[in-house]
Amino acid sequence: MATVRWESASKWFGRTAALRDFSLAVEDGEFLVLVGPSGSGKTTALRLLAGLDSISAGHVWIGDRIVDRLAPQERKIAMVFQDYALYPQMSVSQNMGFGLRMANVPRQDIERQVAATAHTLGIGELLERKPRELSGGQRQRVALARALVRQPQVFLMDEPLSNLDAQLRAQTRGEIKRLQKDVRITTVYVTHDQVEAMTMGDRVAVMRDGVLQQVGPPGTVYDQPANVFVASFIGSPAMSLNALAAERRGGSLTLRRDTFSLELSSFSRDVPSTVTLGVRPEQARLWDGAANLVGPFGGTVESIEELGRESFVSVVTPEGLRFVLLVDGSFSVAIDQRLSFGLRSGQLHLFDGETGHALVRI
Amino acid sequence: MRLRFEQGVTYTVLLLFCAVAVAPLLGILVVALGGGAHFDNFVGAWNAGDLGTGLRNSVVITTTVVVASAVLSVLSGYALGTMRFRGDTLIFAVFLIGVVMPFEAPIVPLYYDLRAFGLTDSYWGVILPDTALSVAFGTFWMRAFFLSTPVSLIEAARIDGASSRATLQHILLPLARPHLLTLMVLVFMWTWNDFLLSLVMLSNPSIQTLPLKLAVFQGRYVTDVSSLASGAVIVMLPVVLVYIILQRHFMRGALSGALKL
Ligand SMILES: Nc1ncnc2c1ncn2[C@@H]1O[C@H](COP(=O)(O)OP(=O)(O)OP(=O)(O)O)[C@@H](O)[C@H]1O
Ligand SMILES: [Mg+2]
Repeated sequence: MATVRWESASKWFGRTAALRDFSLAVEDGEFLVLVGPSGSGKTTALRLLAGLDSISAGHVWIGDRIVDRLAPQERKIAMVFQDYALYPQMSVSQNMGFGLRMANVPRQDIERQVAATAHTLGIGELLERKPRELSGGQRQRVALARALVRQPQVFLMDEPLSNLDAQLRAQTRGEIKRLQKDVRITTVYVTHDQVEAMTMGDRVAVMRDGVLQQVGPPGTVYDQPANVFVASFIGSPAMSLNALAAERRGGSLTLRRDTFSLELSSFSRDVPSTVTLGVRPEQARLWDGAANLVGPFGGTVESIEELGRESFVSVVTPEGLRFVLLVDGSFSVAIDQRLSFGLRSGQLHLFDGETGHALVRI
Repeated sequence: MRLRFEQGVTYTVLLLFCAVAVAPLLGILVVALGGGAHFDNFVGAWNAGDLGTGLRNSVVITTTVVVASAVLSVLSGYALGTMRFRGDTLIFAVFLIGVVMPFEAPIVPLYYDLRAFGLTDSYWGVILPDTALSVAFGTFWMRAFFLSTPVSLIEAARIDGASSRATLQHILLPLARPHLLTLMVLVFMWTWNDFLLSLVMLSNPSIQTLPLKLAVFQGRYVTDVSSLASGAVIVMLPVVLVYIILQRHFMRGALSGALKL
């Protein structure tokens, strides 16, 4: 078991920077999720840690050693690949035992460890099968077992669930998380699925274009996104983001676009003249006159996403602002219907209209 | 109805091609047997043509070429298919020249070169050029296979602590078996059937290969068509046997480029 640290790590492929000045420390036993859209450098960060790609600048630490120049096998890591990369001609037990065999572990010890790990993961009956005789879910489990049996210091996983169907994915998510808590091996987990990130990670690192945007516990990243990108990437449906002009007058702040205006009294901070207002669906509600709502605002229904217990209703105001409202599943609504809604004061996000950086909660 | 018809057409065409391919072979067989089903012709040809010596020489040369080119092709194909190093494209281009160049072109200068080294009229005079030629194609062939294997397989092996030799030995070679067998059959056929190179390099009858021995029937015994045919059958036999024994693997290897594992 060990800590892991990227220190100003960069990686160029020719002239494209896949990873730029990436600094992040993972604690011993922590489950860290790297999340971001396609091409954001998640896999690159993982491969630098694994030693599968050479680092262009900066350092990678495992424990108290710089491992930049160590071969993968010297780093005491194990990796679960997206396509599992099981050795096709070997049985499950041979697959699991291969790493130990390469390390010259005695035969009986290999057998014992393989059997024990197989038992933990409930694949004891599959040991003599070949990978092609396994279902997708079973292969995934074998890949996990193969990584686990070597008792690595660090566990690396690159989208290990993306080849499973939705139900199996949800189930395996929980199992991996539980397993990791049991063995307490430091884990770096890559996914582009923000639900996976939020449900599995002790901390979540959000990436974009090779640059780390924000890192923190899932709740923090959700409640206090560092910028517009994180705000829009984390959460489903996404946070509603609208550009507005900001005017400070005396002790109050007015956000305005055409006839839409939202006034906040007793606001004393400096803000730039254009801002982006971010509103999560659960902070935008039908107008009921409650004291914690600002409004009412009027809008017409653009689209409806019904999930049974609740529905997400997307409305557009006459000024062209868009909000997604969380409403009760029993509330019936039709497209083009006019609605009045309010926004939860104290729960709204303000971002700098130019840089996208988070300013303040209002 | 339609399907029936299409199937009929398919079979007709296939049978036609089959007939065209098999007819000369059948003709040779018929001539060799000389009308009756007795094997005196073969015994006669065997003794008259000194085919026993030819067989020994062919076996020695072909075995060496097949084994050497298989080993070398696997190694060079592995390097060119899975590793990046300075000059790799250039080296591969050189191998490609060996594939596309007509073999007849350099054969005369080759003769003088090998004579200068004293290698003509020895097994090496045929083994070395044949191996070189086979390795050019073999590298091309094996590289294509190694390129088609998932990179993650090699990376998983590296993380599992396998050296590049162990990765080849334990992970990739077992997967490459059908491909490699196909290569070995092809090289076997080319080397076994080679005539021109042996003709140029080997003038001493004691080290001449089977196809060269056959030529003897054409010179001194012009009229002896049935001995020639019997000899031809003897020369063909090992190729047919090897093909029949390995055909299952052979087909799989030939297809493995098209079908995923
Ligand atoms: N071997 C390579 N050669 C050239 N460019 C590469 C290579 N690997 C990655 N890149 C580039 O680096 C950037 C980051 O790629 P990376 O694979 O790390 O993204 P990712 O976040 O894992 O994306 P995904 O979710 O699609 O897997 C991309 O722009 C990609 O095109
Ligand atoms: Mg990736």
